[in-house]
Amino acid sequence: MDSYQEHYLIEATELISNLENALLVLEKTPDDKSQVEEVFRIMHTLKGGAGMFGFQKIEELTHYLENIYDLIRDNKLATTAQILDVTLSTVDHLTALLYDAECKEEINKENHARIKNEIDIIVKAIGITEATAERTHSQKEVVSNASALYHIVFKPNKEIFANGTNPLFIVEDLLALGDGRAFARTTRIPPFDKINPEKCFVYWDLLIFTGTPVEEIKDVFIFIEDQCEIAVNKVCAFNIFENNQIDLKLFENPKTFNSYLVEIASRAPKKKTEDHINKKSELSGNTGVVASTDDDLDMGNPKERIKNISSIRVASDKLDDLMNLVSELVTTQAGLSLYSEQNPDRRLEVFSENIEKLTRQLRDTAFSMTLIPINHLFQRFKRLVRDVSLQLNKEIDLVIKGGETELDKTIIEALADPLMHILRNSLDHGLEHEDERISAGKNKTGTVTISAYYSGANVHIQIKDDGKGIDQEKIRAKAIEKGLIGKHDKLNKAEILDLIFAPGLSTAAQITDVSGRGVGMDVVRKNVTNLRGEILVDSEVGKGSVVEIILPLTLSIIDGLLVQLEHTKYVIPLEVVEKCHELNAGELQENINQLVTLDGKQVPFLDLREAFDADKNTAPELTQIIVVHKNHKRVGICVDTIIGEYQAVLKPVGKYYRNQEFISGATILGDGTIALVLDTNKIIEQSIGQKIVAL
Amino acid sequence: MNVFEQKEISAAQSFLSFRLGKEIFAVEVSKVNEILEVPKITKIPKSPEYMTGVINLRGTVLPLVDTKIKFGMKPVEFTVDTCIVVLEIKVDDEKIQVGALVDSVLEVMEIDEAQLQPSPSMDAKYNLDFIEGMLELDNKFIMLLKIDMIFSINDIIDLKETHEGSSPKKNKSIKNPNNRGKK
Amino acid sequence: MSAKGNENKGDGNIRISGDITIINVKKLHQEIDRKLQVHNKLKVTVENLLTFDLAFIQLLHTLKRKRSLTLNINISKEQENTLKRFGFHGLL
Repeated sequence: MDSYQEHYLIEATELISNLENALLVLEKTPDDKSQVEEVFRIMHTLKGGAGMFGFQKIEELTHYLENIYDLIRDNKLATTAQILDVTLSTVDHLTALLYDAECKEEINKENHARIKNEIDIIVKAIGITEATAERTHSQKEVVSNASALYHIVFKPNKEIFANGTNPLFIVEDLLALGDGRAFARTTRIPPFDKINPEKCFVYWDLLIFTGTPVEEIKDVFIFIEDQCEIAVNKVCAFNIFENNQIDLKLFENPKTFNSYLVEIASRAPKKKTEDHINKKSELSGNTGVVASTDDDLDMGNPKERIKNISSIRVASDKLDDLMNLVSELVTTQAGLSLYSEQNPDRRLEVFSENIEKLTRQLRDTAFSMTLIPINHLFQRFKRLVRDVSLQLNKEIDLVIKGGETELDKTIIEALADPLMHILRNSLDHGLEHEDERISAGKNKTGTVTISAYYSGANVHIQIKDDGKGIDQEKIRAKAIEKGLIGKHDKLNKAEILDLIFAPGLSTAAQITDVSGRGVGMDVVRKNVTNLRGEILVDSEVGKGSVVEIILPLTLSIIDGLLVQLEHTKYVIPLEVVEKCHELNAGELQENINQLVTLDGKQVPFLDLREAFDADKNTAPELTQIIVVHKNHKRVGICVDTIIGEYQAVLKPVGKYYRNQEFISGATILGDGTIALVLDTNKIIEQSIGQKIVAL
Repeated sequence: MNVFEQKEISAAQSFLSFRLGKEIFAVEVSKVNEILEVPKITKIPKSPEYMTGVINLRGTVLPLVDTKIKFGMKPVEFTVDTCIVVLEIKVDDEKIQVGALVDSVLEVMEIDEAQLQPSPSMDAKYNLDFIEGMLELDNKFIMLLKIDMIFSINDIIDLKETHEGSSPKKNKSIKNPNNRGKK
Repeated sequence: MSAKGNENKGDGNIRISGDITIINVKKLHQEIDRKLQVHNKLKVTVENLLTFDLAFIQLLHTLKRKRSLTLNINISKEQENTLKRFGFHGLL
């Protein structure tokens, strides 16, 4: 191969990959003319080079495609799913042709013939459209509800089972729209040894002959829009299921599906002018864009389109990589700062400070990329509320506020279960039945409001219902019965309500199908705490309840207080720290009731030295007390020394230490040693127990 | 776990041998990521004795296991020869790294399948859950360890356990971590 | 769910019956995987199926493709029709 050819190879590989990207963008924004222009331009360049350097087969294919896109460019043709499919498979084939220019290999030969055939079909169909497009130039498209054959592609996301969605029900709903066939595609199912059986790999091509307009067909997906990919395309106006010339078996093979469909579309009987109009939309597909500029009746949400143009898709593992690198950088930078401090050098100091500044900016930018709107999660609840309201025979309004609030994607994923559970509880136990509501003088429709908003570095999520509220006396009685509190313990309202999160306080008597799934509110709290969040409840009998979850914006970096105990350094998250005090160590040891007076108030305390079995002989004269708050309580934590504030990049300590729950992670300090991040809630729970009464 | 189940061993395999006290053990080289000197260790409070702590392995937190305590011997004494063998093990289908503290690392050896004696033929009663096989070299026995099993069990194990296939008994030498805070 | 079989080195049998859904499909997968390690040949029989869902259908596909086992699907006419309706022609 001469060097020119080699040069073309490199250039073409790049062009092909650009082409692929451009096509994918075009698929999302089929009416974006500048994108069509881009596709056309790349193809043209590709073709030019192919001709010059002797890649005849490439030249041939790109030539055909170029013609098609030229028509789209001139508004004589719309970008349909079929065209995009063929173009994309051509792109794959082109890469193969780069290394097999003569197309000698069997598989390439086969592909070549198939693709050429597919292109031929489109080109033939264009012949009709070209004429039609001109004739209907000034005519508005007639939206009619006449029955038509639709090709529906339904690709559930892998995670769809986790949301409790059964894709088969969706297929069922689609089939119920009219005459139809479903063709399950199983090619993406991994082999037995590789499969995660709890993920979904199947997708469907459906052909439905129905009078239902596209918008209504799409309604079937309304609750799972964000959990699947959907395409609805009109194929033709006649019922293929009543035509025995059509061999439905050919649809079973995904390889022949599309080409056969295009063939059928072109076979459609032609009659009057009106049919020509239909023809046009047949090719353009109802979800696609109609060629003429003034006709975009069928476009989806315009906002969506604009968003797609100004944003790109990035694989989430790439984001994770980026975040890891940024975390490394933050750690390395801390080391540099430390070194610069210890080795005074004016120039080094300047560099170090600049790098610190840049690192912080980079960190913030990278973090903002991992945030996604919580609406992703909230949308799923619509379906849940609908189903539950039918099942329980309650009329329920779901109000969603602040869906645009953004949170780290890992947090959002981990929130799905807890939120679902709280919501089920509200629907099931919170909201009363219609007659009960009416006799209580309430609106017969119950309302559940889910809202999210920012507050400082936290996000608050509230689930509020206007149901019957939580009966404090019942909770109290139950807690006494279960031995969670003593008979004579004095608890305030917040503390009593907080008991619903205690393990063992199952409200078993009320378990129903909806919320009785074996998960208690204690698990919900545990999940939220794992995210370094807090969960609170408030309720008024007769008026309703509200559960509030407060979460950090991100999981990977926290602001903390670096402290030392014996030889080990610990980080206490700054968000729980209220105040620090210094005390004589002797004062604590003489203390019997584990209470210390700080600022005139008695506060229970926990000596970490004792909790961690530190050597008594190394105890310092003075001890530092850090007052932290846990839910509604304040507790002092005693350590040897307070080093200062520290920005900690959280690293998991791994499975080996899963029993040491009070260590929520570790962080690497500037000098390369490890500090442990303390979960103060856990250590307090384990060491003092839950019965601390706030004073 | 089936006692007669035997993992297929390819014709020649590389093993890394190391010393714990007077005994010599070996693990498959493919499971060894690297060998480290002992850096500063951060101890995690209230954890079992055999879990020595964590170290910084180029930015990730690596848990350390005192292999000797894990096998019911005396704790590793830190000398110039003490090493950390970084192993990659599979726990519940997940690959994790763990650092095994050993008295010293010896050598990498090529072992022929024929040299390897399946443990059932040995008169010593070793627990087959943890031992892949035995090898006789210069009149010394080297035990080939099933490290995935050994390091995925959250307890001290006894290699000389006699009852086959049963899970190791709870060793009393571990203090219950939950009771230590209160006195 | 029930998946019963006898354990020996040679041929193995697994019978799958009852309700097989997303709830227990992982367990079933593990169970079969474990048996595959133990036995050279495995016969998997599906019969007396009560309810099943997409997760199980997917698993059936993987079993069907797996060479080292033979799969016998013994389901009612009605269940067969259900599979057909959802377009799983390859399974029948």
